[in-house]
Amino acid sequence: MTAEMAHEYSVESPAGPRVKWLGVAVVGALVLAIAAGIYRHQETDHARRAAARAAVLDRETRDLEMKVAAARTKLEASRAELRAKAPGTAALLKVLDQLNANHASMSSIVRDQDTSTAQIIDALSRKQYDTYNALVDRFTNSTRTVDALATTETKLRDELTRSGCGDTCSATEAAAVNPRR
Amino acid sequence: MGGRPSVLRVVLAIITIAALATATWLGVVGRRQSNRASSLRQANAAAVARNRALSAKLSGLTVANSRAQGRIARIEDDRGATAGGMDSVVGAWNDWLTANNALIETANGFVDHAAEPSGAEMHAALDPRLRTITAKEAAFRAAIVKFAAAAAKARHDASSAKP
Repeated sequence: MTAEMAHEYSVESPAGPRVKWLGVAVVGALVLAIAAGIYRHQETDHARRAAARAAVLDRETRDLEMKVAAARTKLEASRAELRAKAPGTAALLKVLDQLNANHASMSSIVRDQDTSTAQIIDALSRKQYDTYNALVDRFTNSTRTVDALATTETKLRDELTRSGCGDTCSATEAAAVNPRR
Repeated sequence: MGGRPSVLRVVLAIITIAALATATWLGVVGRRQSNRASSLRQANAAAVARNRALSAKLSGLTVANSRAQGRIARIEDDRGATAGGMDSVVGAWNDWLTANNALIETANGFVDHAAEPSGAEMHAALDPRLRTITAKEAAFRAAIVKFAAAAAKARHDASSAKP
């Protein structure tokens, strides 16, 4: 077909331009379909990734919730333990006060006795036996105070032990109530 | 030649319609997936925020528990330290008492002695015992100071251990 013939044909047949436009429409529709397919594929992929992330986050949430519940239980147990120790702690503080007072008395007696011993040696070396005897008597009397302080110290030691064991050491308490012979 | 263009037109028209229908369907499905992805992303953002809050809460609870356990351990340690300090005091006290008794016994020995000992002789026998007593007294006072420090720490820890 020569160029003139083709020109003649196209002029003569009105279906020619319609076919051309239909071809363009087909190509356009196919391009649109492909683009829509790509769009669908991408959005499906995004949705799948988001769903996978949601599953991971859900697991994390459940895991964290369990850990929080466990931590709360532990904290409540620790606080209960601390509260249970409060009476023992109060008893301990009371015993500490008594011990400090007892130790002050002990320190005082130590100072007095040490002065006495120096005087005893002095009296003895000077052969002042009356003074010596008087000092030794005083020393002996003080020994009674020493014994009393030692007894108090032992009693307080028992109390200190008792304040540490609370309700769980009835054996210790029984031992404290019935002192050893 | 008259029938060929019309068949082609029909075929092309069918292809066009089918392609447009497919494109429309894919577009609708894609849009639905897009909406789903969007709502999932929003839910995920909320879940991330919630997990962050839960992590912070867990951290706070863990710290509080560690603090409570630390207080419990401190109370126990303080009790042990005061009991140990008390044992030291009692031990030092007994040592001092023993040294004192030894000195008095030695002094009484001189008094009971038939022959009168010289002052120098007495000093030679008693002065070392006196020095022992002085040393024991120093040990006793050191034990008292140590106990008092342990007691002060126990008091401080106990007062700060309110649950």
